[in-house]
Amino acid sequence: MTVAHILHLEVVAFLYALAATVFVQVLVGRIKFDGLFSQKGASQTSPGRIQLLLATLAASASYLGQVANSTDGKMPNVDANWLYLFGGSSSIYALEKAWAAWKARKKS
Amino acid sequence: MALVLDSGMGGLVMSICGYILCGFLALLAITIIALIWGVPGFWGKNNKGIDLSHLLNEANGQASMSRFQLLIFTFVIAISLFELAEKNPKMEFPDIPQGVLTLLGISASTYAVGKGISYSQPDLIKPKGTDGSSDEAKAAAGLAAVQASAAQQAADAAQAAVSLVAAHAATAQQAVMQSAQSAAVVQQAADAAQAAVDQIAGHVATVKMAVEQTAQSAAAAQQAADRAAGAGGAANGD
Repeated sequence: MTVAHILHLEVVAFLYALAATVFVQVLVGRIKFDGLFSQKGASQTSPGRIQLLLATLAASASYLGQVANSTDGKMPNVDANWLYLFGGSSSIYALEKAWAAWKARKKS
Repeated sequence: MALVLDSGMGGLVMSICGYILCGFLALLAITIIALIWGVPGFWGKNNKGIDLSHLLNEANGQASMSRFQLLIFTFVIAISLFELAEKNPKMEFPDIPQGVLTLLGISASTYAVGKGISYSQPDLIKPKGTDGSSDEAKAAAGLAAVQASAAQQAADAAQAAVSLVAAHAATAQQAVMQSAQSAAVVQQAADAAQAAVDQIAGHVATVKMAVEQTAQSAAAAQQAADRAAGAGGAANGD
């Protein structure tokens, strides 16, 4: 086993261990998710956050699928439509956040 | 990531360095994972490890969706990179396409914009008091108690310093009064000395007058004696 193989295995193992650690800590509640779906200062669920989460999960799953199907070792490019989707989703999230902040400032 | 093993000493040195690097990275990875899980006594008695409980939290304690998105994308891209490096026949890192960089840029920009909007509202970034953050409230209460104790100690020290200054002021006042009394005594002594000097001067004047009178009397007596001597001579001549 060459040094390159050993290094590669170590880094991949560390990445998977770190991802598993974060995932388990999320499940047991050590990483707090309180207020992930609601806007600051409000108790209602925010649709902008929901759509951002769904877009993120969909894009990640799609990309990992492309990586799993790749045989030549080249990183697959992200489709332009996904980029437009993400740009729009992030813009909606940022605009909703700015609107909530402006409303809160107006109240005070 | 291709390491060409040459035969001979150079290749042996490269291999040894490579294995040492592998060992170091392995230890580093194990240390990080152990610190995250808080393995007891792993890094000293007082070590608190790496706390991930606020990994997704913003300043007010609520989870942030933009942080969560950035976390997911980071893991996805990193795992994809190393999996594809393994599939590469030369075992090299693949070139990162422009689309992936754009995706990461959008995610990071969203995080930065969200953070900027949050911090532009100071009242919204106050930590939440009661729901879901009892540990933070306890920590804040403990910190407030420590600071109050330190403030009390500082106040006590200031009070002691004020008392000490007052004592020194009283001592200085007594010293001033004693100095004033001593000055009065000295003044009296000086006055008495002056009176004595005046008396002595008076006595000296009296003595001087007596001496002058005595001299005048002596002169008068001499004149009388001379006259008497002259009269006696004249009587004998007759």
